[in-house]
Amino acid sequence: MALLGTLKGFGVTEIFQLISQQMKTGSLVLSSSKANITISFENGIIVGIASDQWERDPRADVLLKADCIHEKDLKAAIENEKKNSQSWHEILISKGQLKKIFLDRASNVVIKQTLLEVFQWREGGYKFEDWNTEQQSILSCHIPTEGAILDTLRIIDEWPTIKQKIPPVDYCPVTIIPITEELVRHHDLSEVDLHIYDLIDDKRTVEKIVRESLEPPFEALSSIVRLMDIGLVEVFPEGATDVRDTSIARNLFISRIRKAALYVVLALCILGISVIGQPRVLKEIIPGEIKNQIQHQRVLAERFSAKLPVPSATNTDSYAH
Amino acid sequence: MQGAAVFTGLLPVRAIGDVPLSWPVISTFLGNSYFFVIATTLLSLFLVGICLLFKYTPLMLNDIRNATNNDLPESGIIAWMIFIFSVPLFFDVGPMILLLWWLLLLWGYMIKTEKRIMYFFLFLILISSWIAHVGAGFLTYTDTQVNRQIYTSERGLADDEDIQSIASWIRTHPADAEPLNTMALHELGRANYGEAIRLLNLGIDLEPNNARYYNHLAIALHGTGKSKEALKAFQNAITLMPGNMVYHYNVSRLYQSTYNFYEGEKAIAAASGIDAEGVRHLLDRENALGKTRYIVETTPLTRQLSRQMRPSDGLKSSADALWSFSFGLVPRKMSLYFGLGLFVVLILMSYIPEEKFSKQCSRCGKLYYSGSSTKYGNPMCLQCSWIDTRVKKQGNTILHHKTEEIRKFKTLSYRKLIRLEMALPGLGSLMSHRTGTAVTRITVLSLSLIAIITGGDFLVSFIPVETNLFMIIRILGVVCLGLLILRAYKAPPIRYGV
Repeated sequence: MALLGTLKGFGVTEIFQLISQQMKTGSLVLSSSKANITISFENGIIVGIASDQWERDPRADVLLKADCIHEKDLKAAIENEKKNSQSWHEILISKGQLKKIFLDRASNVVIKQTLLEVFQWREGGYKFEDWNTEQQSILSCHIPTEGAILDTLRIIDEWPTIKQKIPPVDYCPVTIIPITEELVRHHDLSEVDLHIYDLIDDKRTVEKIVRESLEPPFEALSSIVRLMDIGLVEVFPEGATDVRDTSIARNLFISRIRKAALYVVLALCILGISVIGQPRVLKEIIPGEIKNQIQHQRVLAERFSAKLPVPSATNTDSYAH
Repeated sequence: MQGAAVFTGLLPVRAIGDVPLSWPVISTFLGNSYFFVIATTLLSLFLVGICLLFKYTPLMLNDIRNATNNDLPESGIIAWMIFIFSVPLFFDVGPMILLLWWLLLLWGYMIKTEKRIMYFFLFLILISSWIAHVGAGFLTYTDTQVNRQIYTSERGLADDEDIQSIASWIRTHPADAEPLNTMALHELGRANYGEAIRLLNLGIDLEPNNARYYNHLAIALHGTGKSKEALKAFQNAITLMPGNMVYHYNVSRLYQSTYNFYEGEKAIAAASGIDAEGVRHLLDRENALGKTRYIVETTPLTRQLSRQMRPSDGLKSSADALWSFSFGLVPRKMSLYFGLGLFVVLILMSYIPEEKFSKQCSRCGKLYYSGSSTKYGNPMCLQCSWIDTRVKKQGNTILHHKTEEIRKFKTLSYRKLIRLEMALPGLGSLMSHRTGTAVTRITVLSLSLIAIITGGDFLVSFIPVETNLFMIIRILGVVCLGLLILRAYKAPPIRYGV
């Protein structure tokens, strides 16, 4: 059975949801102008991802950027792949040049990045075949589909908040306060937050920390922002760490000035605006014209009540009542 | 020409119970109703503004905190926010400008249904000049267009000052026919028929289709002994308004005075064909008085009401005062441009991306920026949106955490919302995005408060009315408020366990 259509009519989340709920096994091919991505499902669980844009295993690039492997080791491993009928990562692990945990983390980064990309597609097509297509470049994983959906949706929701606070990628984060258990408990810091904090060493740039953390970029960046918000970390331009102490002192001073200025400017604004404007609350609230009119009506009413009885009573006529 | 006085009379005043349906009473009643509606509307809008302020300022605070990278102390940000929201208070502006300022500041946070309130408010601003004009028409009813003098003069209540006012008005406003007619009636009462005829002819020249003027002209002509001309004038009145019993009755009196009993009976029969009971009453009254009397007509109520709405300096000044009392900032004549300008501002503001403003998910209470919305337009985070659209609602371990979050938020919200709803009916509903219910409850609350505070007593009828409805209105306001609070308790904004 094949499922075929466009993403305009049926969104990616709906397709994933359907496959998950029906506990289907097969391959979903999502195609857009950017890439064709194949996602394998087994009983409704994501078991593999592949993209036609991957020239080689994307984990290799992630690991290279994270300095977890060396380029020449990787090349050698790739060359030996056919000879040993082993994959490059198996060769590197067997040689002790790569830790399995790093490979798993790299897989996690690639999969989450790919899913995040796919979930934001609004145009394109999809095709689901209820058998698994054999693809060599498929990246194996085991991710509950609903978990992946919720996680990706959370990232899309929170991204605008994080985006505006992300420091320049070439800046170096610097720890200001040593982390304690109490701080972890108080600010409910996650494992990722602690991992990122551990990577901060005055020399690594934001970009490097994100890469070396082997965490999905969104998670790593949110952790940096979170640590900055709490006040555990500050960022400085690269190479300026030697002036960190003076910079911190200056920042502290500027911060105090800023705080004082906040109140001073507010007070000046209130004073200025009070002088320029003429607050109505200090004048009569109801205009004189309105008061006069109503007063005039009351005076007339008194005058006429003294002058005559009720008009209806002046006439004994009743036919028109 | 002066002769023996023609005896004239008025038709009896219509009344409901003891309340005469005369112009001052009707005008006051309409004016009070009008001001009651306007005051309720404005108070409702203002209360909605306060509720929106309560709902969205925490989100705004969150955004400012984010925008300033948490560098500034929260107390400082709050102080600035209070200042920004109260900026209009530093100027000579009314409560509606304050409300407008709040709505503009909160525009980006408002959901679709709440934005409709802003559109309604904008429409109100566009027509505010006209609303103020009508309000001023009711407010100045004793002062403009010599309306009061016309009324008192026609009923023999006028003093010399009133008569002089009418005379002066006639000199300065020669194209106004009604005071000419009133003055003519005054002259008729003084048996000064020549002057009455002159004034009525002037009036007829201005309004040749006014049957009332012909009726009065006929009476004045009869006073000078010109019965033929009088009959012709009566016939003109009948031609213009054949369904008016008074003219036929007056014709019958004219025939009777010339001893033409046959024609007199015919005219009485014609009058009886229109209003037999009325004719019987007039004849009985005439018998009781023992004199032949002609019926003169007072200025119709609708005419008096339309006259009081005519533009004049006094009315304009009062309308300006009313507008300035509610709005201010710009003159009333600029209100239309002001409204259009605001419309342009709203269009420009709609270009600000939605993700610049944080929102709170109506299901789980999480703050988010992108998100989605429910089919009713309520904000919802993408996770809840996805959970909401799932075909099968069965739970599993992955969803358990999220559904637990939703359940907890609902439990916490229930207590909070019910307290808010009891404190200010409508606030809890607005917090739970039930804008329709919120607006209804706030409107009923405003109505009750206005009824209790004012008793509907905005304007005063210069003709005394014995019946006093103000206390009844106040009691009704209290009852209405009680029922509203009971309703808020019985039907909370969200139902527990659903």
